[in-house]
Amino acid sequence: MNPAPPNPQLPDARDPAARLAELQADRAVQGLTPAQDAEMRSLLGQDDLCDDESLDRAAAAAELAMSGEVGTVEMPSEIRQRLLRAGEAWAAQTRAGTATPGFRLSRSPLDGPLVERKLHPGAARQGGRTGRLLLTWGGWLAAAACLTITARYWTRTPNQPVTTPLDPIAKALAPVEAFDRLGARHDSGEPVVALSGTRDDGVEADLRFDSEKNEGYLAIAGLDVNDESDQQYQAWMLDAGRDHPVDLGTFDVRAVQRGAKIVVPVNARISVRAAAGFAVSREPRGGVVVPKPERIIFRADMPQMGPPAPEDFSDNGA
Amino acid sequence: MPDHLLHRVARGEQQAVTELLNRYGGLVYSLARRFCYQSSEIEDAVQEVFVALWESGARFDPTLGGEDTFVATVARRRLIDRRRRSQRRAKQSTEADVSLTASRDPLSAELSDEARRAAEALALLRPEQQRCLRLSIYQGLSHEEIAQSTGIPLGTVKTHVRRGLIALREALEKHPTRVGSTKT
Repeated sequence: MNPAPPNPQLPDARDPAARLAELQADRAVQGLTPAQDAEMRSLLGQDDLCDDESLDRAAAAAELAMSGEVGTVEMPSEIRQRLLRAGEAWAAQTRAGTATPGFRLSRSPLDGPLVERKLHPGAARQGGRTGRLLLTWGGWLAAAACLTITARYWTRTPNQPVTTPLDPIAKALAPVEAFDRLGARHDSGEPVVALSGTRDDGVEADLRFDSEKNEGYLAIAGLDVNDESDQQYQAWMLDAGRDHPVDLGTFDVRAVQRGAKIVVPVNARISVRAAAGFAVSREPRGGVVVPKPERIIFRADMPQMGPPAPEDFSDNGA
Repeated sequence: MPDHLLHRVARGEQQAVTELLNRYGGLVYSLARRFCYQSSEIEDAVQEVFVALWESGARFDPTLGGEDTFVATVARRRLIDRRRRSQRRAKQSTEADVSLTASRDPLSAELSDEARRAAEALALLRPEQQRCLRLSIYQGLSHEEIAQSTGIPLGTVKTHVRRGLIALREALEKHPTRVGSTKT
């Protein structure tokens, strides 16, 4: 039976069809309260009234139109991979006739946050998957969402302030999502460096770096809060094609970020020729041109490239 | 009779499940980002939507609307319900979010016919109706929040949203010229 056309005039409390249309419109845009849901069920129990979801579809079409104006964001690769595995399981159960409604993924919201596997302490290897995030997934994202990004994009010596604008899309994205996007691009074979490392005391870091744009993001957890009056952390790319590491910029770890994994944008003042690893040092505020070995507090090397010689960190007086 | 992707998913075809994810992963992820208050909830929300799509694919009726509209309907229903359950307000879109020119899902670079008709119908609505619909549908504001932020009386907001949806519905059905911009 075709539903009676909803009354487009002002809803009349005495007109069940009009009231149903009002509730259908509310459902389409903001959902129904339990009381409204009960009211709708009661109305649908009446003769010649039925629920056709046409206003839900209208809202969805409008959603598509509006989303089309701004585009969509690519799903991070690790989410996609987990969904693919879950989809395989569901499809297999369906073909076998054993699937039950309410299929639960192995990591459902009720199971708590996902815990990613840890790298071996002290090891550093090229991070081929962004899944090697080293905190609980949910906790990391939640922490990252609350962070103030404090990294600076340029090396700063008193007479050499240089800024290189980040890719406008990456700049507009939250750093976490931009980090994920770079990881997805790396997984797709694009020229993105992906490195990970762990310090024996638990400091963990991941670098995703666009080799063509000379910029990227560093995700790092476990650093102490620095005294902002006279100190900053500075990130470096170890470059086998250069005599000294390449400055990726400075950043702070503030009290509110203690214990959380922070994601900071990094930017190379000069092009990286042959990425061999990355490092973080603690420097006077404003950073330095070349780090001294004793100030390096974290380092991750690419095993196949071999670590740069210790003298590469020496201050040659510059 | 074409074998629709969603029906193939409902039968448990692995390739169809993968294709569904490839085709709509970006859309669902983008919707989840807008509806979720906490970034930590996004993956769970995406999972919930795709499970709902797998389980409801058999309900897709191409005579009622397009595949992408079905996907967006299921996604919105789940995300709206999820938001209500969490009793939190959805993350509000910022101007940066709305103006972000992120790369589109390469498999849906053009609007579907339905989305295009919806866009045309939206453009014909009165400005105040358009504004209320955008704030409601795209930014996820409640009627009360729209009234507070715009100064439009609550009852008027509800009327704008309802009549705007009805106008969109008419545009998607048999009479695309009967857009309700003159109705008061």
